[in-house]
Amino acid sequence: MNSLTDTLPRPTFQASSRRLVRALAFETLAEWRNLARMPAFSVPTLLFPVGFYSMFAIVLPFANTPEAAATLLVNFTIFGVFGPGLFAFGVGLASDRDQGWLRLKQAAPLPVMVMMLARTLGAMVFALAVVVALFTVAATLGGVRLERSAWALLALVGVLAVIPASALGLAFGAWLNARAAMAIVNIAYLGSAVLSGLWFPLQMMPASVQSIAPAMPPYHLAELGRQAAGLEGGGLVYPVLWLVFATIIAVAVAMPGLRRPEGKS
Amino acid sequence: MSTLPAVAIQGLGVHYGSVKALDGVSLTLEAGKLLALLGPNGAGKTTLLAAMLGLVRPNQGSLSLFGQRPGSLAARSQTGVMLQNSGVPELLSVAELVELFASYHLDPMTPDQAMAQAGIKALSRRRFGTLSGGQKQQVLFALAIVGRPRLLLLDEPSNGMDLHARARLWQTVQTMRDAGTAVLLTTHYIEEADRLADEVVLLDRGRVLACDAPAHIRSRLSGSEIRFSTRLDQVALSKLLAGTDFELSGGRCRLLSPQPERLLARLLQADPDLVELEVRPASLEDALSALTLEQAA
Repeated sequence: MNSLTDTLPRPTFQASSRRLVRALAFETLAEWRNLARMPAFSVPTLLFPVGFYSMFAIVLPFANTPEAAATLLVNFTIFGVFGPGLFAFGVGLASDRDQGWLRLKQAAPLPVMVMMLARTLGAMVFALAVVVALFTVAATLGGVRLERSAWALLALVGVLAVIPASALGLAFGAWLNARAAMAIVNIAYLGSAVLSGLWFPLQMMPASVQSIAPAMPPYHLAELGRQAAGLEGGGLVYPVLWLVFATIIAVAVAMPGLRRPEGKS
Repeated sequence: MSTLPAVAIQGLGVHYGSVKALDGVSLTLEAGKLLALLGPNGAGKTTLLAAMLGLVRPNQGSLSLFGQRPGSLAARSQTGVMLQNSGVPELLSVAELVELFASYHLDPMTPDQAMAQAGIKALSRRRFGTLSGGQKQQVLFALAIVGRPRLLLLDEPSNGMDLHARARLWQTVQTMRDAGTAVLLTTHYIEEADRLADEVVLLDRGRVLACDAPAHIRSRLSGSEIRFSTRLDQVALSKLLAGTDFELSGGRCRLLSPQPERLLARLLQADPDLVELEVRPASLEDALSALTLEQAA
């Protein structure tokens, strides 16, 4: 009798959790390496926020008061950190599926949650790089002066902003093919930034734009950013709840797209 | 004590709209056996593999891997998979990819062992995107075996590999089979199936046409292949061979027959000048194409 096939070995809880932690570490490392080695991702992700921030805050005279300078930094921080998660999922996941890489991973013993978490962590590392680059320019050339705790809190908001950005990207990536995703995610990224008032103050915008701004995730992230930087009060509860809710909705929209049968899009 | 087969499929049906990609497929694969899945394009081989991976949901029938639901983590942990057209992140190196897949498993080989068994140790630092088609297949094979799977599913594994790489692949597969791994493979190279498989399953338009040892399929179906040169024409041969398919071009005739002796007697009587006569056992390929044609008629 072949005892090999009698029962499947039941791994102990420790063994399985050790494996999951290991898989998460390697998966995150692979995500990070893959993103970092892709100039089409890493260059715009880092250069656009720093470049636009420098143009508005340093070249053009918009940062004429300490508050205005800090507000510009907050806005471009949110713009910069919203990209990595949105693109890593929106475009990355769609092209992984188109190429067949996602299918091979779905056949491997890697829980889908670990795969998603690793991708989010990889994007967070990128977001942190954007934050460090922006803060360096802001503190030197931009003349931004903040409390040490304010810098730290703003950086924290920046890194955590990757979570709703990733969820939104997941909703796009789960349903679109790579080509469509590239176009649509770009439009969503730039569109939501403008409509949230990240580029131009909302007061300068038409009333219609002002009224749809609160439907954009970056709008609420910018509000959290301003609170982190000590620019305004107003409480964390509403924007945080709004973002948690938006994240849940986006994941719920994505799920059936991820589970849809092979070859049907 | 019951022994669960690596793969147990009973009356499996998968429908895409009105198209039956799989229709009442049943097969069993035990530990330490190698099963070759053959069939023309569109026969349902890829759908069957996708169903085993839990990537398509069957409309009817049952399918289990080691008694587990396909696609479950328990089933996936026991299974190594090599799929066709798997795009792998081109910017990761071979060693990074093998290391990554090793991290998914509880008791993997070391990445070095897996790369050595797949014959790609020399490529370990190369990025996947810089490899040739055959080398990419070898990397995908390394990803499939690094977790020490008890079931290996290989879809056209030797595609694009050179002779040396192919020999190495089959050597590793055979070693794993001998150590108790169940192997299911699809291949276009029928001679590979003939040489390696314990069992051949012929699939055509979603149905199992035959399921037997390669030698049995060969003997059961076609007997012999006959070739000769004759002055008889198409019409005369048709009458003489009544019912047997043949190919005639430039006076050279080729046909398959389960009972070559009787046919030859008739042929020699009709054409005493018949020359260049060859009779040899039909290949597995002949047998399979005869089966497929028979079914289509």
